Amino acid sequence: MFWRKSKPPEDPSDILKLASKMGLERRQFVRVRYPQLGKFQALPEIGFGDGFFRVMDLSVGGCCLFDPQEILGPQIGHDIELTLAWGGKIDRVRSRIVGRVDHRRHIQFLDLDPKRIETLKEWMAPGIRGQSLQQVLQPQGGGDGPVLDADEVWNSPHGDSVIFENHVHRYAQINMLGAAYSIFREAWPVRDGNKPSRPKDLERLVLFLVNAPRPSLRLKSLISTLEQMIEGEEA
Amino acid sequence: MSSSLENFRPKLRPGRVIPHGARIIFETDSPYNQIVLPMALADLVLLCSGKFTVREIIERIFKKQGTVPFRAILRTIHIFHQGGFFENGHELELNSHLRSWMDQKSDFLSLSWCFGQRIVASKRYPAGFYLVTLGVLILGLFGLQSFPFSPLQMMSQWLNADSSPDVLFKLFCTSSLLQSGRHLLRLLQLLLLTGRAYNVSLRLSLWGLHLHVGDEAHHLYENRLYTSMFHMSQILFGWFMAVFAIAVLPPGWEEPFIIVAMLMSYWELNPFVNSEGLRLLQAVLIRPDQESISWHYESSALIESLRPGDEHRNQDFARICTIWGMIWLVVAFTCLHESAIVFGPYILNRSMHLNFGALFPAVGLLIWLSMLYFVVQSLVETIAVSLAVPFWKVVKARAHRLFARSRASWSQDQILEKIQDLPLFSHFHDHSLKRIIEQSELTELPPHASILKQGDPSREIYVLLDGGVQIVRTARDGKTEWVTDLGSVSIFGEAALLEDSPRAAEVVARMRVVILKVPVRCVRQIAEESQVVRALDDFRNAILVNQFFASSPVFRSLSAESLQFLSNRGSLEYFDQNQVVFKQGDPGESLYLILRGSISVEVNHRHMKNLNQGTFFGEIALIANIPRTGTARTLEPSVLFKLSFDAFWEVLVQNIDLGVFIETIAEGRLREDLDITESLKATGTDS
Repeated sequence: MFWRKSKPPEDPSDILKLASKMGLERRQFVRVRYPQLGKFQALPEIGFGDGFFRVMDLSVGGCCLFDPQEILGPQIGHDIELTLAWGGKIDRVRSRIVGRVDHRRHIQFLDLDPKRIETLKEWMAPGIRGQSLQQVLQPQGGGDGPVLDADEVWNSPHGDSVIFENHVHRYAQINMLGAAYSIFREAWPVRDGNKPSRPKDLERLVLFLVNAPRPSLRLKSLISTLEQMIEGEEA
Repeated sequence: MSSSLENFRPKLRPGRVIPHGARIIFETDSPYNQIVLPMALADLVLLCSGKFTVREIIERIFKKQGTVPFRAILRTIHIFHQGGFFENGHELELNSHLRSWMDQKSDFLSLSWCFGQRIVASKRYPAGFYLVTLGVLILGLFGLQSFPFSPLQMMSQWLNADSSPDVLFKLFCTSSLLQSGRHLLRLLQLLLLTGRAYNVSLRLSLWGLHLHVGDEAHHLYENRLYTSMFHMSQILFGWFMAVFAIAVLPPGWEEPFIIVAMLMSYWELNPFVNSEGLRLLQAVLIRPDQESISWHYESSALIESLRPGDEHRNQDFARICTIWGMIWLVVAFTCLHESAIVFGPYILNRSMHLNFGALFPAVGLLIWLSMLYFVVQSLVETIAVSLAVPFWKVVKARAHRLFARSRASWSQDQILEKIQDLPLFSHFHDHSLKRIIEQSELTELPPHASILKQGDPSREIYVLLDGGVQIVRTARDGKTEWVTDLGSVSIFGEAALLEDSPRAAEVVARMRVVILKVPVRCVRQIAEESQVVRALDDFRNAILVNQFFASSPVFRSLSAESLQFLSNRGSLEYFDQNQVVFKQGDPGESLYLILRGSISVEVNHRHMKNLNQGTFFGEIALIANIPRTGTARTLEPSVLFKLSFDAFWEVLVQNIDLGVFIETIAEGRLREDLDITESLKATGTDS
């Protein structure tokens, strides 16, 4: 490479970086949207008795469950015992129904194991980062000025990005939590240049993307493509 | 047509914005003309189409992201501007504060032809830089041995031996050669160390026709050793060349070479311009990660830095520059004096004859006079002012004391005239005001007299009719803090109107003062009789808020309209002792100004710092659009002015300077918290 990049100006997210170092950049019980796919290696399936619910969102302090059959009952303030299935292992967690909107039940975990909380924190990190994603503005010059050399770009103050490329083979580049993923039109995604992505990586990507506010059609399409890959791998 | 930064419509040259991972590359039509930026600045780059002003761009970014990275935006605009990426860059006119902040160098009397905005190397060789620079420094020190014992005698002998056109020609050639060589060395050093150099041009200046390479050496500040070596080698370059040149040059060329080398070294040690010597001093004294206001001795920031309350670091830097400047000027004076003795008779003698040969001595005389003017001007404008500013207030105070009017000269009508426009009294009729004055006590106090003490009962409001007072506060740990200075005509002790709590601060006369002590019960009684009680409530709130804005160094610079806007958009909130204002993790919706009382800040249940009256808090969550990063709790009964998120940002996007300042404060506070947390971890006291 003949040219070298110039030293970029100060990263605009210095305050965020400092806050992140101290773990202060987000709310204590921030919730992440749970993907439609619903099944993850490390995130739990949540149920009551024998059945499992669709999880709408999840935090280390609680979750929101979709309960169209009113299995959990209409009353607020009741303590119940929920089943959290972590792969093969099952935890029984004492919980309280703290809110109800239509068929949604807002649940507070009362005695979740601290080790599980740490696991949840680790797995929720991509979802939390995804909440800061924003679509980059389209060029404003009306023909003049700079032109964006991509179909669509999403970025966040944390430095994460999703780039939909205008390329024959490459579909998108995703830069999340310091790792770079390339998504191809006809090939398995790769991580950091040449390592094939593991299903675990894809799950993290889905969690990241599904939390982007006001997703575009391209972003939704990318999510479903990744979900299909995960399901295909499991099958 | 030039425009200020806020009204500048940045228009980038046609090019592509290529997203690449966490970065974007902006590439103009020339493939070598690229700049790499953080991805988060993509919106800014795409908005630089000439359609929007910087203010509108900031507003749009705020509307989209809910926050604005002020400093990154300004730095990016600065880099685009410096690198010639803007089509209309010539229209941008920066004010002195922003220019100083952006570290822009202005050219002095030079014409230039830019033929390369950017030169890049494929690889960096710091070891190569180190060896090359060390070699230049060592040989430069060797070359210094050729420094003449009596420079002016040498110059005199050479001038007498050569004809005037030859002298000028040789000076022009050697100067052009040495300057070009110095810039070539700079180019090499920058390429070796940073892999890039900017703004390469051919320049016609007072130093002749020479190559010029933009000085981007502030990028080297990350490493003090390299930076110091870089600047020292630039200063000694002439003497480095002398080692080779003297052996090679034909007779008659050695003297001009030595003369130019001497002038170059001397000029590069000049603290009155943005010279290599000054940059060397900055590199040694100022930590690379610290913001500094006194980057240039030539800038007005120097004078401002001598104000009390500013950081010692800046004051120390200014003082060192002053001492250095004096030494530099003494040398200049000596040289001018000696040159007048050596060349004076010759020049005067030749100038008398009206022929072509008299032209060169006349030019020499003009140059001598210009240099004398420069030296005197520097001495008067910079050195004298720098030395005088700290003593100016003392002199002013004494003059005030000498010429101030005595108490006997204050009639009731004069007092009425003074106080009737004050916010507290403006709604009273004249006859009510006269009654208030009749029941008040007029006092004259000497300098340093204590007017009221912290903890005293609040029974009177004080109107400062003449003189100046200082308000100080004793903190819980026994330390005395300066709160603000007040001049005539102003009100203090107005908290007596709000509550019966003891005085929160001490007021001391800075000079002879004339004060009207107005009993609160009298004001209340007359307000009730005059049916202006509601107005009185408004007054006392307005006074508190106005005094805060007037005395706050952060908000003092805002326009009257902005202050009025902020005053109208906020609300007063009263807190008891040990009451939580907000908790860590809460959504950040407002900024708080401490009008009275003090606040304790806790992060992760650990006490970090106390904030006292006159400052603000809650800005981190607002500026970075994140939840509250700490818990704020009152240490004593406090009155806070709560400013909404929208009002805060509305003022910030209109006042870019304030945005930069608040962002810097927010980052500094977070950095302090992080330092405390890490030091606790390191010492094992973090539980």
